Formats: sequence, structure tokens, C-alpha cells
Amino acid sequence: MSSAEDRFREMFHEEARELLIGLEEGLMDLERRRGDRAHLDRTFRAAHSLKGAAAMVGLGAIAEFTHGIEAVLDRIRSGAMGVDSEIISCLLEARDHLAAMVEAEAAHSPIPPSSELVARLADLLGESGRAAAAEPPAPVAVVASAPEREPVGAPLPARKSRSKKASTPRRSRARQKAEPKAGQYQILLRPGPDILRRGVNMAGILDELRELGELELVADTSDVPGIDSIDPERSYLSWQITLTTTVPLERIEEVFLFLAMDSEIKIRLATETGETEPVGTSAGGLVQLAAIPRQVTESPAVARARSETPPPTPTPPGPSAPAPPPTPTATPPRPHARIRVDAAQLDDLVGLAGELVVLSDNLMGLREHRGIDAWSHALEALERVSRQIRDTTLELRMVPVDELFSRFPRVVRDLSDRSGKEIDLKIVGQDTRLDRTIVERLADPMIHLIRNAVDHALEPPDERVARGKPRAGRITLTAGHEGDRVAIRVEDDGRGLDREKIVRKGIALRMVPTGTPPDDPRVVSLIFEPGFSTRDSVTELSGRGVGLDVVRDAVRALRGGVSVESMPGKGTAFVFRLPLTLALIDGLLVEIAGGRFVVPLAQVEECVSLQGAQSALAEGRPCVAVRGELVPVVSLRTLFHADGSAPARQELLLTRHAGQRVGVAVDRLVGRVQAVIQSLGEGLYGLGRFSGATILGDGAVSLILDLSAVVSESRLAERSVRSYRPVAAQAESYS
Amino acid sequence: MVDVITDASVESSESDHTQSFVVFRLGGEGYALEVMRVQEILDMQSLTEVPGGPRYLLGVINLRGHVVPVYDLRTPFGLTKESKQSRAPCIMIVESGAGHDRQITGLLVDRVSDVLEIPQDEIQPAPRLGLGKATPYVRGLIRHQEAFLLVLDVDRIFSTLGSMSGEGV
Repeated sequence: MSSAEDRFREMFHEEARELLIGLEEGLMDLERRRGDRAHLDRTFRAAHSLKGAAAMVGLGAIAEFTHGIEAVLDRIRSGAMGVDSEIISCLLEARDHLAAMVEAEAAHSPIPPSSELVARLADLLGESGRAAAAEPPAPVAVVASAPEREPVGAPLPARKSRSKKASTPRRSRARQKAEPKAGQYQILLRPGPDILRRGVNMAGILDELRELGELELVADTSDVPGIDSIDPERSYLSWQITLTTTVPLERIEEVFLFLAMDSEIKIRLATETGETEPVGTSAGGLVQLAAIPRQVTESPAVARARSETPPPTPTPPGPSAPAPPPTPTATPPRPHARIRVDAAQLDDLVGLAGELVVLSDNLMGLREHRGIDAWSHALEALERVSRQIRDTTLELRMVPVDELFSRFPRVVRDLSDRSGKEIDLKIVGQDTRLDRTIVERLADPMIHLIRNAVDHALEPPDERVARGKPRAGRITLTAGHEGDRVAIRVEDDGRGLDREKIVRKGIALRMVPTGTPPDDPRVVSLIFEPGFSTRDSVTELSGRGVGLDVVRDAVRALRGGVSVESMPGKGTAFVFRLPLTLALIDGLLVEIAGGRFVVPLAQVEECVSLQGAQSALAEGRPCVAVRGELVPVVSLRTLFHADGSAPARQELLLTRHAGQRVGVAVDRLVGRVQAVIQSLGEGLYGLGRFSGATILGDGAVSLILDLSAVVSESRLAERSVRSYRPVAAQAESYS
Repeated sequence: MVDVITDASVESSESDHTQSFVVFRLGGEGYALEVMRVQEILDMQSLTEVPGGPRYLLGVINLRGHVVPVYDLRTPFGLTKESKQSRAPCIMIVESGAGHDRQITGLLVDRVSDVLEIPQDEIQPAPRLGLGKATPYVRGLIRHQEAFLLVLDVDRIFSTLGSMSGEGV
């Protein structure tokens, strides 16, 4: 495939993804406020545009399938069909399959339309009124003789590109008939009244015919009504066409592919003797054209019968190539490899780049110049422009969290369906902007929390009513700024965490000491520990053995944190606190045994001097008193196995780990830095204590410490030491 | 991806006859590496150590704004450090993997001595045994000046070392 064609396809995939989101939102909305025509128009247009876009790049199967959805929407829009959740479910499932088709197409392993869904969509149309179903005129010139009829869902000719080079003849029979010499075809073309609404470009189709050979066109305007009764969206014209061409008949049929479903097309071959013989009946291609509209208009009984036939195979690429097995799961393309950029920001960036060029010219000119002033002005300007370029570029990575939130209404709807709980979803602050990588990677943790809320936290409707709560459970998603971070809350008004149960389990798993009271601050953070789950049974919705530790790890990987607030009987809120961007961090440059390291400022609550601080041992751990509170201390010197002794004056970075304050001792604080993060090579991933590296102003490489990993690591080391000599060690250290 | 495939095919058509190798010495042994793999040779420079990193990881360097790890293969190959090092070692910047997995890594070498054109049929297959700890990483042997040069399989080296590092080797 040519690269231009590739590019068009790529653009189609992007557009399709967006339209699919619009379609989903529209369907969700349709269910919520039934009969809102204005809104339905938008939903209908999404389906309509998608169909048009698919047809434009020659993806006939997708266009056909979309048409089924569009037809149902159209029926609803015209008021001929009521809306119930069964219809919405069917449409949503069809949308999902459509999305799968688009993604499979993008991954170069197309999958066929689901015959089951096609049948269900057809069913919907059929039920809504038989009279309406009979309305579009059946395609003429084609009386399908049974033996020649191809199975439905077999290669739709539409899948083949309409460009000339892709038109490998597939049906030798039609070819033999049509190819030997130039033939003259008489074509009657009476497009269906709705083709304009379907987005068919008649002029384009006629142009395409013109490319095939010599064309004579006679337009029939007899059906055009008077100006006062004309409907601008309706097609009234028909054409009498004489085409002299050497191309095979099927090439001509291909041109009419997108008209076939509701238009009258008669193609006759006028032989040299002047006789005309109809060719439509014997050509397989036309038989197929007839088969297409049947998918949407046939009776429900037939449709149902068809839904039991095995799913069709994907279109083979050529006449002899075997059909590749459908592999919908094969290598999904990287999602959103492209970013939509605000034009104004791009302008800023271009402007800044221009300024930079001027500046470097300036600096070149200064080579001769000795004056310090001139240099320092130029350097200041250089620094300013470089910073602005960096900031603007970073800004380009930001997207509104709405890209993430907009998929949750659907998730909640499906969960509500399956759990039988009524749920009211509220979304706040969807305009908040975040690094797009963060937005993408938050989807799974958030779905996890929402599932948990539906499955565990929200009570069944009757229980809620009995407790004096509204029947429908409420889930609120909120995004907003909190200092230099973004906080995302997932909140429910359900049962709240059962602290008693958590403590019991925590003690049983030896995660907290026996006798820990339920209101100990450590209790709540237990739910984030690996292997901790209070729910013993596995439900369909959640609890497949995956715990909240996965959520915590995912958020930590984004250099964020997760905390939980809970009130018994009132509800639970999980809060993610995330950096605005992943590319940059505000850090603290520290020195440990001669090496310099960067600590993310977000992990440091406070720095205190260790000099003169009272040290003590608690539970066998070294601790220091910070304003009367005993804080356990982790020594980075010890962890790094550094030689030599620590300087007399050390600094303590206070951080929070599992809800507890922990101090991390470093030799010296050097200063604050803004670090551009580089990931460490693959070979270093095993070292969790470093989350990356950065290059300092003097060109040296500095590693970025992850304090929370450092603390966990030292805890692990402690535990293993203790387990070797459990009693003696403690006794010694106390003596 | 397409580019990579094209590169490989060009390379193989050219290498029907001869192939160029960078020859270097490490711990008293002679090694060879395809010239296409070697990006540049740097003088020894200051490294940032990685506390707790694997022993073969000397540290990381700043290569024109990119953080690149530098490995000392003497450890995994079981070689001893030469006691009398006449001159400072250097860092050979090597490309491994392809496409998305492409990695840039520095290798400490004692000395880069030569670039040789070797006819394809003079490269002997590597023995399955007998080269000590380096055996799995040797792709072939080249007889050169009464001695054998070991042709290294860098992809294999880095993928193996990468998977070992988590265990603190």
C-alpha cells in the first residue's frame, strides 16, 4: 500500500476513534434523557461521519456495519422507534465491535463484522415497523439465483480499495465476459432518496466512472419537485449513462458500491451489433450488491436464523491468497501516538525557536566582544528562551483528564447492569490538565477503584433505602489542583471501610502487631499491601485476586501517591495525588558519601538537622525524636554500603511511608534542582531505589532516588536480618 | 521497523564477501565486534557510580545529554584486571537491539587496536565449550596473527546481563 494511502488510513483511524467516543457518549446520553432530539442528532452524525470516513478510505466492511447502527439511530431520531435499555445495549455492543474492527484494521489484521450484531440491529429495524422496512426500493436488475449466491459476510467488495491498482479482478466469469474488447454499457442509475444524507458524493462517483472510459451522461430531472416543496437533503435525480470502456464489469460495479444498498442500478452491456444483453443477473458481483441491503432490511426471522451461522471470515487480500486467521488480539497499535496540539501553543513554540536562532547569531557576534555586560545580557536572554521552550513543549504534553473520565459513564453503566445496583455517576473538574502519559496510565487503576466501589462499597438498593440513603448509589470522580500536584478522587457513598475486619486480617497476616486498635492510622494503609484483601469470595465484577497494591504501584510508577479516607456508613474516597508532568521534577540535590543524588521534592515533607537530635531504638529500629515524635531513620550510607564514617552533622529528610513518618539520613543538602528525568537503561530496572537519572548543570549524571522504594528496601533488609536471629538481636539492641 | 529490515538486508548483501570488525583487547584477550555496532570510542571519563547496582556496572556517563550505562565485561567473563595497565582504558559505545529495543551502552575496553576486513568464510563458528564464562556470548572466532579473536554477540550479552541485574549479580 502506498504511503499516501497509509496516511489516509491512519487519519481515518484517529478520526474513527474520536467519533467512536462521541458515539458512545451520545448513546449513554440517549439512555439518560430519552427523546432529546437535538442531542440525538449529534450522535447520529457521529455514526454518519464514521460511515462516510470508512467508505472514503475503502473500508467497506466498517462502513456497512456502521450503517446498521446509523439506520437504527435514524429510526429513533425520526420517532419511529422508542428507546429502551435493551436497544441501547445492542447499540453499545455494536459500537464496541465497531471499535474492535477499527483497531484490528489499524493493526493490519482486520476482523469481520459480527453477524450476530448485524442480525440484532436488523431485528431492531424489523420490529420497529414492517412498513418502514419495505420503504427503500429493492435493488433491481438482480435476481439472485440461489446456487450462485455467496454466503453473507463473505468478502464484501467494499473492502477492496476503490483505487485502480487495487482492482484485481476476482471473478473470472465476469472478467471473461467483459474484458476481451471495449464494450458499451448502458447504465441506469436512480440513487435512493437518502443518499445525500448518507454522505454519498454523486459528483465523485460520476467522476470515477468518467475515469473508466468514455462517458455520456443524461440526467433525468423529471422527479425534481417545485422549489417550494424541495427537500435539500433529498436526492431527486437519476441518470442515463453510456459508458464505453475496456474495464471488466466488476470494476463498474465497484464504483456503485456505496449506492447499492438503496439505489436502483441497472447495467446492460450493449454488444457491438447494437443488441443489449443484461449482464447483471449472471454476474456474481451484482448478486453480492443485492446481498448487502438484505442485511439491514430482511425479516427478523431470517436475521435470527443467520445469527446462528458461523461468523464470516475476513476478506482475503487477493484471489488466491488464503484468508489469514482473524487475530483481533494481535499487537494492538500504540494508542494516541499523535497529540492534538493547541495551535496557539505551537505558534509560541515556533516564535521561541526563532528567537533562539536570533540569539545564537547574537552570541556568534559576541565572540569578538570582550565586555562582560553584553555577554551576560545575551546569556540571560538565552536562558529565558530555553526555559520558555522547555515549558511550552511540556505544555504540549498536557491533556484534559476528560479524555480519561469520559470513558467511565460507560464503565459504570455496564457495572450497574451486571451488579443490579443503581448508580449515579458524577464527574467534576474534567478540564484539569495532566501529562498525557499519566492520563493514559490512570485508566486501569481508576477502573479498578470504580469496580471495587460498585462491588464492595455500594449497598444494594433496598439496603440503601433501609439505611435512609438514596436508592441509587453515588460515585463521584473529581479532578483538581492541590498545590503543584493534581488530585483525583474516586468517591462513593457506600458502606465505608470495615476497620475491624481490616485489623483482624492484618494481625492474622502479621502485618500489624497484635492488639493494634482499629483506629490506628496504619490500619487503612494495610489495604494497599500485596496479598491483602478482605473479600474472601471472588465476584464477577472485581476481586479476581488483584489487590489495591496494583493500584498503588501503578500510581507510584507515575511518581504519585494514593491515600484513602473513609467514614463507616458514609463512604470511601480514594485520592490520587499526581505530578503535573512526568518529564520534569522539582528535586532536592543531596550528597551521600561523596555522591550526589536527586530526591523528588514531592516525597520530602520536611528537612531537619540530625545534629544533636536524640536518637533511640524503637522496635529494634534506630529512631530520632523530631519535635517529640519518635521517627524511624533509614541511613542511605548503610543502604549504599558506603565506606568511611558519616559527617558529624547529617540531615534528615522526612517522608511518609505507609502512613507513617520516616526519616532518611543524608550527608548534606546541596540545593534545589529542576531535573529533566531520563529513564535508566533496561539493565538497571531491577534497582527500584533509583527512578531515573538526570544531568546536572555541570554535566555530571545524578541518579534520582525514590524515597518510598528506599524505605521499603530497608524494611525488607531489616526483616530478613531479624528473621535470622529474632530474639537475640532485639535483646542485644535494647541492652 | 521497515528501516531496520532494509539495513539488515543491505548489510547481508555486502557481507557476502567481507565484514568489518573493530578489534579490541580486554583482560588480556582479543575480541572483535561488527563495526556497525560500534558508535564511537571515548576516552575514559568520570562515571557516576550506581550504589547497589550489579558489579559489572561501572556506572553511568553523560553522552551528549543522554545517560548511558558503562559495563565492565571482565566480571561476567571471569577475566582478571591486568595488573600493569600501560595506558588508561577507554569506553566503546555500542548499539544493541533494534527498533524500539535499541539500546546504547558503553563497554570498558583496555585498548582498541584495529579495524579489520574479514572474509566471511574465515569466521569460524564458536565452540560450545572452552572459552570459560564468555562462551555463551561468543558468536564466532577469527584467526588473526597467530591468535584467535572472539566475535562477541552483544545482543545476547546485554539481554542476559539485563535479566541478571535484578538479582544483584
